[in-house]
Amino acid sequence: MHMALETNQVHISSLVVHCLPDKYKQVLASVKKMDQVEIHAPDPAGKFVALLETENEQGILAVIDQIQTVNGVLNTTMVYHEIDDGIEGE
Amino acid sequence: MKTTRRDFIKQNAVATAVAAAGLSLPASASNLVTDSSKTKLKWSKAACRFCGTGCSVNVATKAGRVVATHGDINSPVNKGLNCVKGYFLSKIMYGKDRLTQPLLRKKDGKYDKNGEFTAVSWDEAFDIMAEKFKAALKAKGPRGVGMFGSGQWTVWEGYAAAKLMKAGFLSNNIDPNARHCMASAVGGFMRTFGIDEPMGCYDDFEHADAFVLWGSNMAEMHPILWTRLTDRRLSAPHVKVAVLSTYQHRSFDLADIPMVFTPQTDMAILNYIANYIIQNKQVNKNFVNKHVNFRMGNADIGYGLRPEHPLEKKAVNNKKAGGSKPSSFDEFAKFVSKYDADTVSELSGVSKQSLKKLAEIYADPKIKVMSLWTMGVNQHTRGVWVNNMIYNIHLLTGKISTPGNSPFSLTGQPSACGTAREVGTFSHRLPADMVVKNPAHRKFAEKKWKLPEGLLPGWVGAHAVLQNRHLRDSKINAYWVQVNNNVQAAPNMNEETLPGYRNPDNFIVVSDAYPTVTTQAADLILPTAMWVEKEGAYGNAERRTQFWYQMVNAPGESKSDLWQLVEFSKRFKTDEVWPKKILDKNPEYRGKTLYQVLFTNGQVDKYPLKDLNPDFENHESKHFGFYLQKGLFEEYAKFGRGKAHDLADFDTYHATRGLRWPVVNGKETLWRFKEGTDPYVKKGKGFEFYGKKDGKAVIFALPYEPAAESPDKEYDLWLSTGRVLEHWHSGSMTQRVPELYRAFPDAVVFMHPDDARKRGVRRGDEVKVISRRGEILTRVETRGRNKPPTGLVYVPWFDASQLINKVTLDATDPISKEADFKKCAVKVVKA
Repeated sequence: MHMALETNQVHISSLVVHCLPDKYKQVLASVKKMDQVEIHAPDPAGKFVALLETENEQGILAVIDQIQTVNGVLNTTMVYHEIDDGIEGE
Repeated sequence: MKTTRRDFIKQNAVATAVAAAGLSLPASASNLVTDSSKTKLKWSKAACRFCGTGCSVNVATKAGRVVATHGDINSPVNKGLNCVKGYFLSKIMYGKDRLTQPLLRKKDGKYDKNGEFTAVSWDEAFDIMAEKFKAALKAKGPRGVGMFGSGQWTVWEGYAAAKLMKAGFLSNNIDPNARHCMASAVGGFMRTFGIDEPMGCYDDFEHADAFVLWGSNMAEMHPILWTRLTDRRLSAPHVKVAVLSTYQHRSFDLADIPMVFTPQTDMAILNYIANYIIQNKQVNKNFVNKHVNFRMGNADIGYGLRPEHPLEKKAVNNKKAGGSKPSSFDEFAKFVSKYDADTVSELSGVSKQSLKKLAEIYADPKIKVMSLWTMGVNQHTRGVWVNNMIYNIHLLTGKISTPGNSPFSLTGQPSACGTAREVGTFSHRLPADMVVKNPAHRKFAEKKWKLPEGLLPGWVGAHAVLQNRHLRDSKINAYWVQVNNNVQAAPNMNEETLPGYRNPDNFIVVSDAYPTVTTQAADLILPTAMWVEKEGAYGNAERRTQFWYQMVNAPGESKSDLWQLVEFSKRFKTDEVWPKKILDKNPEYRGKTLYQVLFTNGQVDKYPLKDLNPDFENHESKHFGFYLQKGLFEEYAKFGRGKAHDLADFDTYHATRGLRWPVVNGKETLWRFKEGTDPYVKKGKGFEFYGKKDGKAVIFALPYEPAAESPDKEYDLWLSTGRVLEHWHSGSMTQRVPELYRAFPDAVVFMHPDDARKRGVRRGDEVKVISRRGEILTRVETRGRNKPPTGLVYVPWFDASQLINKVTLDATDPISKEADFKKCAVKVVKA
């Protein structure tokens, strides 16, 4: 496995988050405040995409857990994950 | 350049998620996921290894290892989404403690039941195994051997196992762990419809106006289906969600009608709904008159305990548990009339207002309703009844077999449907819903298998719980367990399971990829290739059959269960295992190995190696010299074609994201029993429940009956067991993934803060959970994701260091023989 140079790795992943429509604004505000998270394609019907940049996989799970506990969040589902090891670029 | 590449990855990540969520659909999204030009990864599709949802995942390999998995955007099931377990799939094969060699208990160089596990060759392993199986067969006949398999077997593994046991050893003592999971659902289907598995499909999620969860925590156990349900709820504001459970869990977050009910009273609630529909004149009379029969089911049927148990001695109908007699609508109406709002509210602890709201969902002809259930209903001493009763209310209202009107039994294992049920790996079944008891079915199977007439045994073999009892009682002496961890999973481990496995009369073989509580209790451990280390097929909860290729080689000497079964069959001659009378009459079978008569019969070995896809490995086929999986599948498929179980041809499944059977003229079936969507329904019928001879489904009159064990003065709490999101079943795979292990490392007892206070304990305190049968040490959780009411505690069972099945009771549904893991009486004391 490409384990070398683990220190340079950045894990980029995306999540789909569903929340209750009447708590949508508060949920969005809380998630926006989190480190390592960018929000994309917010939809007031109660969903948005969270883009994560973390140092490792444990970081992804930590963010998922953090989002899951926000009042009004119904579920958080992983979609995409890629490790950018900073070597194979171009 | 690094930033450019990172931006590119980020765009990919967002675009894919946006597409998966249906937020917008950039045309290129599907290509981006598997764009391999930059990473040199080889991508292929596979069905997920875990629950019964049947998500398709893209699997990436690099230098002979699986390095990544993504939800498959082209899959109609998960549409690119993936749950946290599925996301870490790539890691389940690479735990540090993978088993890589056969291990036999030995002392002084010889097999010894009390010896130490010692590495041996496959040859030595099969030698001792064959010796022990032959000895058991000689001493006790076919009833002296047994096998315990799984809904995690691939289709052809389950098929090969059933064929080896039933047609080779002539023993029906084979059962899957699906017995612990789906047997009540099967019983419900067979009793009400005469044919197994749901009539509807996942497309119902996008059509329903209401969802009712009857004992299922979908948010944690079926997260991807929960996402589809959530999407429907949020995009259509009129949609309502009712969640029923004996404790509050994560699915309650979305509930419009949340209901926590007293254990076992689901039956009373269902009869109340039937009564409400009748009282409010909302019966769909046209549908009921044309398509439904009424029957009065036998009551007082016992609890599937050992016959000497006082509860069994008392039960009037414990020998005729499945019996019923013809009845009528009027009798049914009278029968359910005593389940009025006052009575049922008091019994269940649910307010009359909530009960009415729930009943109205079913009664209102304008509301399309999907009922969903899993273990809360199935792991129930009246599991078959509760399944029947859910169908009752769908049939009374005609809300069935049309988009969005769907009583939908979810499954817990990836191939509980495709393998355990469809292949017929149960102790009473043959492929395609046929049963061993029926002479015509046995004759049909003998013909398809090219075996002598009269060969197959007609006796019903021992089911899961009975196998453990038979091991303990020295009735089964040679026993093979594959793809499951039954010592941890089966109920009442102290009194039944462990004494059975360690009984000096018995030889226990366990095939697994990792050490488990069950391998520890074994005498011989066989190392197993898992998931994409072999070519496989699973069938999910919506009748979808999915295939994948072998993508990597298994470590060390590990071989798939399929290889093990077929290779082992070479060690037996027909003369050793079949009756002399049959061989005298059919001398051409004499002197042949079971391998020859079962697997090189001109059918299974029909497809040559050149049919293999050259891009992928196939360790079994290359060993045996023919395309084994294809031969097994095509032989198996002959059982169901033309009988409403039609499967497509082998190659089609490798090219698609699965198809839902019956597949007729290349077309899959979304809604069964309805004219226009099911090719088996005759023109002009409207609906036809063709599993029954007269085409009519059955509404059963069945009462509420209490649980086998309820809390009393000393054991004053209900205990319910189950799973958590991060771990799947006994945790033997998920606990090997460090991230999942850390996310939920150890089991806890979830309890109400008032119950904790009363016992002088606080969150995090160490406590004992004690029943009449055993106890475990665990810690108190009062604030977690599960919030029990006072009087009930919940303990997940994935944790091998806290074996909750030492505490549970082995009461089963007397019809389905499935154990009730959701109800027994315990006390909790400070440790």
